Amino acid sequence: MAGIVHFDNVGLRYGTGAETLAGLSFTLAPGSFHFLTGASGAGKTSLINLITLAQRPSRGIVSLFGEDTADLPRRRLPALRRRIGVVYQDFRLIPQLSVFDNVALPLRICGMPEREIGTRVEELLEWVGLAPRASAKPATLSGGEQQRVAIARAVITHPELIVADEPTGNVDPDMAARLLHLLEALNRQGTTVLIATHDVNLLRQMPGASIMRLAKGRIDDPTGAVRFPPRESIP
Amino acid sequence: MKARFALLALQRQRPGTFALLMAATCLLMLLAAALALALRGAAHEMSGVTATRLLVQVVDANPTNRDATADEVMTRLDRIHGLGSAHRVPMEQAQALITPYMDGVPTSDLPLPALIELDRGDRAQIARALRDLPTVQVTAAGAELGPLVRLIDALRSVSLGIALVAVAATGLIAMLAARAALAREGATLNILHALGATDRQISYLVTGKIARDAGVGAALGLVAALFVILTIASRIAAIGAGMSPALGPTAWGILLALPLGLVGLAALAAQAALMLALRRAP
Repeated sequence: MAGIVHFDNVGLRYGTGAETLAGLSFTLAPGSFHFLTGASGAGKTSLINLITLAQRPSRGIVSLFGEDTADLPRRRLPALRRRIGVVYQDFRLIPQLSVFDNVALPLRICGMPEREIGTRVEELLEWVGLAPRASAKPATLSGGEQQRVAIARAVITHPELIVADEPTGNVDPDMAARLLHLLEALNRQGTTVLIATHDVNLLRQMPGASIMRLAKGRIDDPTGAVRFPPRESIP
Repeated sequence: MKARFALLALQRQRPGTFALLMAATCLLMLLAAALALALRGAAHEMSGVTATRLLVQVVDANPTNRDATADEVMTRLDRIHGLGSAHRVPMEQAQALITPYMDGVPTSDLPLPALIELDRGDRAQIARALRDLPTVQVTAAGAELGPLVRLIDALRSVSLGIALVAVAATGLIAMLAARAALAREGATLNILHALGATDRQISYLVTGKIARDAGVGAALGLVAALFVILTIASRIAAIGAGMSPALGPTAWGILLALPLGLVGLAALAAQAALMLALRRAP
């Protein structure tokens, strides 16, 4: 179980209904790159919520960075969350903060000095092409620009694990390729990456990445052996 | 996480209903506390009088006999050990005390008793020493003032109770404000949690805003309370007859410090409510 993420027979149930996720068992090795695919309602976002500690499983064991999250006291959760960069499908930017301050937020939460924050945020904004819009508020940005801010915020701390829910859903193919290259570069430096996506082109651009396909709350291929599936087989 | 910018929408809002409620509770608390402190001074002074002071009266219609008996009383009192100072009230002073009530009738014609005040003494012992003088009465000052002292004590307890209710209300209002802020800013706070912010970091953002609003409210309440207290003090001083303002420097110090304490209490109550509520988050 020497993975960054390890699920052992994990189930998730909302209220008294049927299990949204059932019997999930898989391991994400350090430095690996994974895609998570599945039809809408298959449970991708629920799975991401479990990995990012936004929810607790109804059963089974979820281990992050070698620690069983069920046994962790609440005060230790923030330290684990800081090791994970998350890109949400709906961006979740803070509307009253500027682009700069949204991206700088994880660094401020970690207590980094302001002078270091400035350099780091400016470099990253330059890279995602948003330097001229650093002082703009999220509401004035296009969907693609908000997506890039969300990605910049997720990677600014160089987390050990990046989880992205449809990270290229609102950007043009050119920007999607650039963002994927950023994630790939981070992966080459040892960051584990998990991307939930419907974008077939994105899958094709990452040969060697494993694909976990989620159907009705279960993983079709927990070993990640399915690679480069033909276009029609990808939901 | 430095809050040098408005991370939460509520941080940019002007002090609103919460500050006004704080002002109201602060005003109520200060007025009740001022009354309690003033009554405490009065009760203390009066109970000091009633506990030890004695009054010896020589009631004799014949002024010559009355004065002779009073001289004899003074002589006997001098012989008693452990007695405080004995002071014979001059007849002119006694007459001056009742003149306003005599509607022009000359008080020199009245057979007033001779009065001897004792600062400290055992009533029974003195009564024994003077028992062969039939025109002499020994009374404790407290005999008349006792009910008044008890009334003052009761009023002081009521004032303290009102002040405590105001303090408790402040704590509850701060807790409700904290919970409302948590509900209103839930989306932002969830993002902060997801980015690795601790419960304490998040709660400080809300508590800081609540403390600032509480400070504004407490300042308003203090100004209003000072206006009321000073107005009443000036009215009491205008009455005269020894009714000087009863609030000393210590009491004023307490009154000025209370709003600060109230702000601290509001911040603590809000912090506690937030930490409890955040503990329920995933």
